[in-house]
Amino acid sequence: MNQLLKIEWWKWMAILLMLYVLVAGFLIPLKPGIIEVFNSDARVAEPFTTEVRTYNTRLGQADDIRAWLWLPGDRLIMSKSVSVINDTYLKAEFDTLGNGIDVQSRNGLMASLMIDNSLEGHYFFRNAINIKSAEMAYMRPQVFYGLDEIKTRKQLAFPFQHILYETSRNTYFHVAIWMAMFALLILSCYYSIRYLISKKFEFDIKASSVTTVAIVFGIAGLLTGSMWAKYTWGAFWTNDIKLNMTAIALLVYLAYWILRSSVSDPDTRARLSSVFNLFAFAMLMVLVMVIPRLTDSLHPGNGGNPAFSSYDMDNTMRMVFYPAIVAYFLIGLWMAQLRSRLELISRD
Amino acid sequence: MKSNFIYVFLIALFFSEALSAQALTDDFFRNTGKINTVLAVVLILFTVLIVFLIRMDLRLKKLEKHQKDE
Repeated sequence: MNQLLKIEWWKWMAILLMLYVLVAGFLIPLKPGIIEVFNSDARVAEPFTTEVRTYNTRLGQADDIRAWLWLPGDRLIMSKSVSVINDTYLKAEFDTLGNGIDVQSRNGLMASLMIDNSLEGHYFFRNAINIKSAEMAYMRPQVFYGLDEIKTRKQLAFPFQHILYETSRNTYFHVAIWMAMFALLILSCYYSIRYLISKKFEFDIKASSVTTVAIVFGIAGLLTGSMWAKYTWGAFWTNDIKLNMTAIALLVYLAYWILRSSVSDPDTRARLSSVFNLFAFAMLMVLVMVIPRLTDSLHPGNGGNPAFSSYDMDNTMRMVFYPAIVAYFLIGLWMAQLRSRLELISRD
Repeated sequence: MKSNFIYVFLIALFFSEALSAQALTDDFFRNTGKINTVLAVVLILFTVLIVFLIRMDLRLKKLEKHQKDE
């Protein structure tokens, strides 16, 4: 026990944070959501019926389920009846859609389908239904409701996102490890600068150890991202600009490894690799942070894709995401420290 | 036990090729809200960290052997 207490406090913090991230990241449920709306074609002057498959819902236990058509301008049409088939499947019937739904374009009007009940609050499928205009004149006016009719319930849960579903939890593993990699690389730049100023070998060893761990994190980031991409974007590797640029940046850092192992004189090696490290970091920033923002990318935060906006990430996710970054950073620091201690011993 | 799991993992990986990416189907990585994809991501992360540890362990072994010889 006394031996264990000799470990520095931040290593304990790394362990505790990592445990917290794993437990909270897996145990906090996803909010209820709609996976599939089976009928997407509605028409004014005709009744509308659809079956809906939901996720993480307890429809069987709720007794005041209502379905809504959510039109632009926050106008809501209430369902006539909802029949629950099981906890995650229901059938919603709407009365004949009346006049007042101003379908202007020939392609129809896109409406979202929303379900609410007092047990679970509300959840919706964006632009699930396309409402076409009536084939002949129809005069019965449509009754609209406002958003204040909708029941809401606060709960500790991660946001439900279509296509991503549970994989939005990868934010705490894939995204966080990239962020930790950036933090480690900034640290290694700091050590490289310290080396260039003081010419103390210790700093060169620290810089190279931290960079090595950062590259390992980068490889882990690429592999995990590839896995995530396969089941959300459809392929292990897409031609997404961020992927290709990251691959180039990693090659630049692999060149750092090659540079270090190919120069035998320790002084020259330390000086060259310190300078290379600074340039590689500048390169990484341009390749990964700047260029992907100039074009289209599947990654959030690039090419007009909002990142970490309230839509992608809410406070419940941040509660796990930020500790995750710190946890990986500290673990990386720990790995780098072991490595640099090893290097220092082997030098003597 | 562990190797069995990796087997299941790899087989599931290769047999899931033909299915579309978006739909939630009964395939291993897409059922129950694609939770197994998260599992795979965590496993990859662990594997990378373990490989790093093993490599460092081997280097340390070499060093220890070196010191013994002296």
